[in-house]
Formats: sequence, C-alpha cells, structure tokens
Amino acid sequence: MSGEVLLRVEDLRVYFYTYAGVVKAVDGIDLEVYRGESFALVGETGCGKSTVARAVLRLIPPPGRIVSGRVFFEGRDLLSLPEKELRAIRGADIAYICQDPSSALDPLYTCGYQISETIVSHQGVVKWRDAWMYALKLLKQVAIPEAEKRIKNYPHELSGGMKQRVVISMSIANRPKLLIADEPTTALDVTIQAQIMDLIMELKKLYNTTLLLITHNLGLVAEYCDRVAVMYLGKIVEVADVYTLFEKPLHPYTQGLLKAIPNPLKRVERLYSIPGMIPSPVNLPPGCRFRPRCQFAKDICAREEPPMIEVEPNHYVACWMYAKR
Amino acid sequence: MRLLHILHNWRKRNRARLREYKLMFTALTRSPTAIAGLVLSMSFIILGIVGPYIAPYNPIEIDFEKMHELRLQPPSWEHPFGTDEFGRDLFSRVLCGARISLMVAIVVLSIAIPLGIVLGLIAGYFGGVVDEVIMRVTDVFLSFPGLILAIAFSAAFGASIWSAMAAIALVWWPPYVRVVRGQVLQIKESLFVEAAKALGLNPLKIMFRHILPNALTPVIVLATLDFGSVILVAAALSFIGLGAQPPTPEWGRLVADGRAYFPEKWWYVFFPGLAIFLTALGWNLLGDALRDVLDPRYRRRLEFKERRGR
Amino acid sequence: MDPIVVVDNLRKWFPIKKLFFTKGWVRAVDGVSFIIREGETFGLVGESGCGKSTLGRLIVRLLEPTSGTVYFEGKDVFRLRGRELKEFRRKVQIVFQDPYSSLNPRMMVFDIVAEAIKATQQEIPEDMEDYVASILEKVGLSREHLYRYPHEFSGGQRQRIAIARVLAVRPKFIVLDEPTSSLDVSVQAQILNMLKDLQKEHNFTYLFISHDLAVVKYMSHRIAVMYLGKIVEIAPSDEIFEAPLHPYTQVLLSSIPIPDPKIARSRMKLRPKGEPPSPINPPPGCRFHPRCPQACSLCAREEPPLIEIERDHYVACWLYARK
Repeated sequence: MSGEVLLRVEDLRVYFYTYAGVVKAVDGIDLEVYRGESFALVGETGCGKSTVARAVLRLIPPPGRIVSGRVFFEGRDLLSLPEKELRAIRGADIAYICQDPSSALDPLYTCGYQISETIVSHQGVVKWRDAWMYALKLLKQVAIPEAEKRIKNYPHELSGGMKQRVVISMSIANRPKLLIADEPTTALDVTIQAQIMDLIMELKKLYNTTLLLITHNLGLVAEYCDRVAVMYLGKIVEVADVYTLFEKPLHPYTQGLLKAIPNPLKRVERLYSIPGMIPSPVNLPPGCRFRPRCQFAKDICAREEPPMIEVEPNHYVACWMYAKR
Repeated sequence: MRLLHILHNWRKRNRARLREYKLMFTALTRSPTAIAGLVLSMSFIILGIVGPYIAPYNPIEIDFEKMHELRLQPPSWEHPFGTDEFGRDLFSRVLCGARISLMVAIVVLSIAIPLGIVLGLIAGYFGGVVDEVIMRVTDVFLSFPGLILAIAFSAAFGASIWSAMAAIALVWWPPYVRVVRGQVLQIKESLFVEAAKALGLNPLKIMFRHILPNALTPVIVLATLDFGSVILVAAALSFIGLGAQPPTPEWGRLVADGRAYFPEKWWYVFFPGLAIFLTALGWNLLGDALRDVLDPRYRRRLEFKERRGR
Repeated sequence: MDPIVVVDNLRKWFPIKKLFFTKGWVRAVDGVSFIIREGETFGLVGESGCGKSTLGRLIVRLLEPTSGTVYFEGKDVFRLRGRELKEFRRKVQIVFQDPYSSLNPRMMVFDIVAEAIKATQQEIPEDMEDYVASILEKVGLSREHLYRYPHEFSGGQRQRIAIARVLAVRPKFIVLDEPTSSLDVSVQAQILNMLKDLQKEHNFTYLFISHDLAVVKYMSHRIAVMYLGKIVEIAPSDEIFEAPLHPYTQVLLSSIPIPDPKIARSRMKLRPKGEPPSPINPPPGCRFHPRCPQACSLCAREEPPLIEIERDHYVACWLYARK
C-alpha cells in the first residue's frame, strides 16, 4: 500500500538530559504515514513511542530536547516552523488524544465550554452560541447519551469512558487531517475499549482522517491498523503492513513479542518469553540494542548497528540476519 | 579471624543500608543551607554539653566586691558579650544557657514525641471509636494556641523551669498524633500491610515493623523543626516570668532582664537574643534539609548525579 | 479431584457513610458460590469494579463477609481462631497486583522472605541465609539480591520477590490477584510461565484473578466470569471460549482484541450497550439486562439462577433457564 505521504519523520532524535545521564528516548527514527491509513507505533514501556508522538507536535517537556531530525507534515517541516504557525496546526490539522482523559480536561470548566473553546480558537466561529450548538452535535456524534445534559457537566461528573469520548469529540471538532492517539484506551475496560476504538475508526472514516495509533497492545494493532512500526529502545526495528507483520515477522524482537502474548483463541501450552530484561536506556548496549536478549546474535551485532533494509516490498527490518555484509 | 568473618558478614548484610546513609550524608553536605543548619544545631548541642566547663567565669555567683565596678560593662576582650547589672560575665551566662535550652528541648520532645507516636498509631491503626476518642481529645488541645495553653499550665503549676517544661510537653504532642495518624491511615492501605496480615502477623508486629518505620520520616522532620520551636517557646515563657527564675541563666530570662537597660546597654539583650535566634534558625534549616534528604527519590537522583560526576 | 475451596453464597457490602448514618451499600460481592478443586487453576475474570478483587480478599480472609461463607478444606474460614487460623494462614497465600506497593520499602529482600518463614513455619531453618537464597533461585533471582531494597528492582523482579515471599510459606492454595497486569508483555510471559512451573512442582491450587481474558485462558483450567458482584458463567476454559453462553461472556469475548489480523477482522463484533451501572444501586433482575442485546421482560424483573447446563458448565441467564 502506498499513496500520498502525509507525515514524514526523518532521523528524529529526542534526548532527555536527566540526572541519570542522557536518556536517548528516540534515537534516529524514520517513518512515513500515508494519507488515509491507520498506522500503529507499537512497543513496550520506555521504548520511546509516546515521545515520538509528542515530538511531532513539538511538545517535549524539559529536560527533553529534540536533538535532530525533521518532521514533515504536508510538506512543511514542523520542527522549524514558528511557534505561532505551529499552534495553528496543533488542535486543528493535527489532533492528539492522550492516555489519561482526566488530565486532558480542565476540571474547572464544563465539557461544552471546553469543546466550544477549541472550535472558537481555530475556526473563526464568532458566536459562542454557534460553537455551543456545534459542540452539542459533536457530543451526539461520539454517542454520548443525553448529550444535552452532559454538555453542562464538569469532567469529574463523567466516567472514564465518557471523558475519553469528550476528548475525542474535541479532537475531531476541527476535522483534523492527522489524529494521533497515544494509548487512548489503556486506562479503560475491555468492553469500553472496544466501543471507543470502534468510535475512533468510525470517525476516521467519516472525516477521512489519518490515524497514528501509539500502543503497547498488539491485539489492537491487529484489529484496527493497516501498517505497523515496532519500536525497541528508541529505534524502529521493523515496519510492515499488519498482515505481513503478524504472519511473517522478521526481527527477532517482533517474533518474540508475538509469541509472548497469549491468544485467547488458541490453546498454547507454553508462552515464549524473551529472556532477560530491557536494559537501562542510559547505558545502551553497543551495536544492535536487542543483541543481549537475542538468540540469533552474531559477532557483528555487538559491533555495529544494523541498518534498516527493505527485505521485501514495503517490509523493512533492522537486523543483521537480513543485511548483507 | 573469627572477628574478621563477623565483620565481613555484617558489611555484606548492611551494604545497601550503608549506601543509603552515605547518600543521605552526601545529600546533606551538598546544600549550603543544610550545612549552615547542621553547623548551627551541632554547635548548639556541643555547647550545651561542654558550655559550663569552658565558661571563663562563674555564671551565677556575684562578686559583691567588684560588683559596682563591673556593672553593665560593654563588650571587651575580658567580657566579649559585656556584663549584666550584677557584674556577671554575659558570655559565660549565655554559654551556660545553652545547656538549659538543650535540656528543655530534649525533655519536652522525649515526652511529646513518643506520646504522639503511640496515640497516632493506635488511632490510625484501629480506627473507629478509639480513633474518635483520641482525635477529639487531640483536637481540643490543638484548638488552643500552644503558647497560651502553655502559659496557662505554667501559671497553674507555679513559675519554674520544670513547670515550664511540663507545660510545654503537655501542649506539644497533638501535632505528632495528627502527623502519625495521617501516615498510618495511608500506609495501612498499602499492599505490604495486607501481605503481612495474610501471613498472620499480630497487630503489634505489623504496627511496629511495617507501619511505624514508614511513617517516621515526617516525624523526624517535624521533631527537628520543633527542636528550635520548643527553645523559642521556653524562652518566651521565661521572658514573661513564668519559666526559669533568677539567677538561672536562661536565654529568655536574660532578654527579659536586659530589657530594663535597653537600648543604652544593648548587649545585655542582643547576645542572648542572638543565641535564641541562631539556634532556632539552625534547627529550622536542618529540618528543611532533612525533609529532602529523607526522601529516597531525591537521594536516587543524587546518586545518579554523583555517578555522572565521576 | 476434591474441592479444596468452597465459596457459599458469599456477600460483601461496603457501607457508604455520611456523618453517622449509612446512606447506602456498595454491593461489591453479592451472593457468589463456586468451588475450586485441588491442584487446578481457577480463573476469575471481570472488568474493573465487578468485585473480583474483593472476592479474592474475602477468600484469604483479609476481609470479613456481610453474609455467606468460605470453606477451606472443609472448615469455615471465618470461624477459625488461634492455632487453626495460623494453620490457615500457612496454607493460603495471596500475590497482589502492584509489586510497587506490596513490598515494604524499608525492608531488604532477605528480611521480607525471612519474616514470612518465621511467621508461618514451625521449623526455622538453621542457615536462614542459604534457605532464603534457595527460594530466590526458584523465582529466578540470585543470592546477590539478598541484601537489597525493593526500590533497586524492576517491576518484574519485584513481582518475583513477592512470589518468593509466598513460596517461603509453602502454601497449598494461592490467590493471584492480577499478578501481571502492571507488567510489560515480555515480562508477563516470564512470570506466567514461572507460575505454571511452580504449580507443577509444588502442586499448588491457584485462584487466578484478572481482567485479561487471554491471560486467564492461558493460565486456567476453569473460568468464572463476574459482572457487578455476581458470577454469570462458570465453565472449563476451552469451553468458555468456544461456546460462551451468557450474553455478557459473548460480548466480553468479542471485545478483546485478538493478536491476529485475519481472525480479528473476520469475526463477529458484539458490543454491549452503554456503560456498566454503579454497584451502589445495581439494576433489578439480571444485572446485565440494561446492556444486554438479548434481554426480555423477565430479565428486568427476576434474577436468573446459576444453573448447570452441561457437565461443569454453569450459567445465570434466563435464555437457558426454564421458567
């Protein structure tokens, strides 16, 4: 699958300068997201997947810093854009949904006010009354029951699932071209997770939005996404379309990860478990970062970092098993 | 050989603990205010212990022969802090006053803290009616300003340094009950306490092994801050005539006596006042520093910093 | 196999107090009965707030019930006193979800494990250090970890320490309350496999509580599904996935994401209506009826009984009960 590139990330590096030393949260990643697709960035805790999302919006808090790289959105480099122009893009062309809906909503204002505010600040709607009516329409669209009543509620009066629906309604208020969802359902129960993911996909279709889903849940990826990038310790190790990745994973980490998740529809006597632990991001192993836990490691893996190569069309992997040297 | 073996074992077992203490110490010596607090409070304790032995003159006896000649002398080489209205050396008197203040603080806190901890533990751990009774009594004590209550008690017991101590101790425990109870309520809910219950440990063991050690940090900080406050209140009681009686060289008393000669004979008020001020300041700074140092997360950050520095 | 744990019509209502008056009750566990057989892993699955953790805590007697009871090896757990209670504590242990709060931050690993031994064992080993080290090795840690504080370990390692503490007691029955839900996938697999190995080696009986159906399926022989304080279905693990009967189980199964795009996209998608109601005022009749795609008028009026449809397959739903 290919098409027009909506978002292109080139050699992005985000380092956190902590007391512990320099944490290379994102260390030179490249990726392309095509218009209209849903792209997943998956990885375990601390692999840097959320940092990528925030770097795209230039929302890296200190002591973090974007050290290098370029992020092209519709051809414009977001990282060199003046703050004012970037602000016009944030929340309008690119919307962001975070893991914790309670922290995304201001407890002091009603849901209706907060949705209206996004509309007024981006669309040049002059009358608050119009914005309010539009907000009501949005709440109905995200299937909030009794929207007329809920619009006047404060965030704390709503359940976690409802709050996430409000956040989603805010994010689609300006018909964004790119929707970045950072673990949007991690804090929610399975049935609510399914409802929310269905909603996101429905709205994506309706508004012809592109979705960048950040998650640790490979099940969600299989269920909802078109293409996947797998991250490990600040690097992308494999990129492929979903069917290929789940059927024929190439990188040993992806293989291990897929064998480590229990599948409820299969009887497995014993799960595979990747040996060892994720090393501290401060003292990264030289060469390939997965080498200390990899059962196929060769000499070269300890010496040199593997390059990203296209093993078959649109299937990229960073591993010395597939690189010629 | 055997001794060496024991020593080796001890070190092995306590390596982690020693590392924590070392970190605490480095953390403490890192900030200038902490060092100032440490120096002031430690010198106060040392002077409190050795003061009377190094005082150049007798702080209490009056030399009636030279009294008129020595009366209210300004600071000089012989009398660095000057002399009082009876010709006594103020430096010696202030020096000996340190021991009285030290004694007051130690006596008051060693009554108030254990009382507060035990009541707080019981109230927090058992809850219900026990909690209600303890906390309401505590509230009654807390609802009066401490100093006023201490004045009332002190006046009732009769004016002496001992009655002042008793009065202060009597009003000093309620905040500790509050602090400890708050901590216990929080820690009681932790899973490690549940795990201890599932092991069938008796409530006393749970309270003293699992809950109390985790509740102590704010108590230590509060106690350090209070060390200064107790001295201040004791001085205040003596100042209004309810605490130490002449000729005891208590700092508050000295300030009160010097007041009659202020501002011409400024040193009479100034030096005892300075002693009170520095002591209270020292303990305050130390307390603030300890608050940071006793937080393990703060220490961790520091450990990383150290490693990077190397 | 003989039942080792029998839960009999167990209820736990927590009072909601306002000033001195009880304003209402949270019906966390509301009339639950089942048995756990010796040597099996009994899975308990449900969403947050369904009362599964409360149920786990009741069974190990960290909570006292409002009514009903639990029998362990034939004895009423809540009537045990003195030596019998001590014996119960030795035989029944619990592992908690959050390994960050389940270890006392001021105790070293050695002290944590040694305390468990001293509290429960009659014979205290002569060389405690060796003995504790041998237990640590069983959970994949080593002797060098003995004298360290919990904060020096990662989440997975802490969970290993918590399991070592339980092993030291040499129990027969262990309640595992979401033991891996705060861990990463690769670490989760390590812990789950270890728990399985330990079960084989020591013939433990497990009650495995989780919100993750896939994990419960991997671990359990039989599974109970809980909804709002009630058990809606109990069945052997394969059967519950192949032929779920209760509409809630069906909805739950179809909501879990399957890590296989082909299956994931071809299967039927059932979703419940709306959100779970509060356990403070649960709906009358069947608790699932306001969200149930197949509810009828009877469901709103009367509570369905838990009945055995096939051998070992129980369900509480009017679709299957005759009335």
